[in-house]
This record gives sequence, structure tokens and C-alpha cells, in this order.
Amino acid sequence: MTAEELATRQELPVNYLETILLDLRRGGIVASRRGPDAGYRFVRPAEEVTPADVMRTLDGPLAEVRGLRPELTSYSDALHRSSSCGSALRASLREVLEGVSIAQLARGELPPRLRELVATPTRGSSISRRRARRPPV
Amino acid sequence: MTSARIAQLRPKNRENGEMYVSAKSDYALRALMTLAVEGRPDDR
Repeated sequence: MTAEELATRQELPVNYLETILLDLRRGGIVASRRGPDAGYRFVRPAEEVTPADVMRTLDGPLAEVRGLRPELTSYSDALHRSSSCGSALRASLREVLEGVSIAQLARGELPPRLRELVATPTRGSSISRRRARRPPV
Repeated sequence: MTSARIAQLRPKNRENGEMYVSAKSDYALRALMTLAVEGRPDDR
């Protein structure tokens, strides 16, 4: 499929999508083909590509602390558990973003663990709760 | 400099205290899901 076709189907700005596809091509996620069948294709089957692959290619590491991977941060003895918290954050992001493929998402399928997480009611962040309590001005 | 490297150099994935998926990744995921469903069999 061409960038124009993909942009039209998803109502995305075609120029921006072309830039994104170029990054995905450099990252080895897609390849482009010239000629009468011009367009993009997956390099690896869509069953093997995860949202984590895409997000790392476009936005860099999934979780960073001061621009470093969580396990590379250092704290004083009393604060070393902050580093563990960063590592746990990274692990939880990986569980979700590496736990499903692009093909599964496209078919509307979620693995059981992700379905569990989606079904877990969220209470909102402390910030949004504070905002909700704030009286109207 | 690749856009991925530029993204590494700026604050990202934070908005009003919440994690979020960048517009770039969101657009990419939507395009790739479309390719996975509507692309020719040998494109997927």
C-alpha cells in the first residue's frame, strides 16, 4: 500500500506519514517498493512486530530516567529503591507493548493478560482527582 | 540526526502528569494496522 492510501484510510496528513514511514523503513519495520506495485510492506510479518518495536524506533527507549535506562541511574544508598521503581515501570510498559502484535491489534485481538488490564477499572491519576475536586472558578 | 535521537533529547511521553503515546507513534500504529489488514498478503 502507498503512503497516500494509508493516509487516506486513517485520515492522516500524508506528508507527516511519509516522514514516519521513512523512519520505520530506516528502523527495519517496513520496506518500500518502487514500480507499478509501489508501496510499503512489512519486513518481518506483522505477527512478529509489536507496538514496542514501533515506539522504540520512533520515540526511543520506552522508559527513561534523566535520559538513561532505569538500570543505569545511580542514587545514594537511601534512594536506591527509586532506581528499582524505574525498572519496574519499564517492565510494566514492556509487558503491555511487547505483549501483543500489530497483526493481533489489527484483528481486534488482545492476549488474556492485556484483556485483564483493560478490564481493570482505573481511578484516574492523583492530578486528575485533584482537578476534579477543585471548585469551578 | 534521526528523529528517534531527537525524541530522546527532549522531554516526552508526559502530559499533565500522565504517560501518553506520541502522535507520531499513534499515527504509525494506525498506518501499520491498516497495512496488516488491507495490504496484499505478501506485504503483511
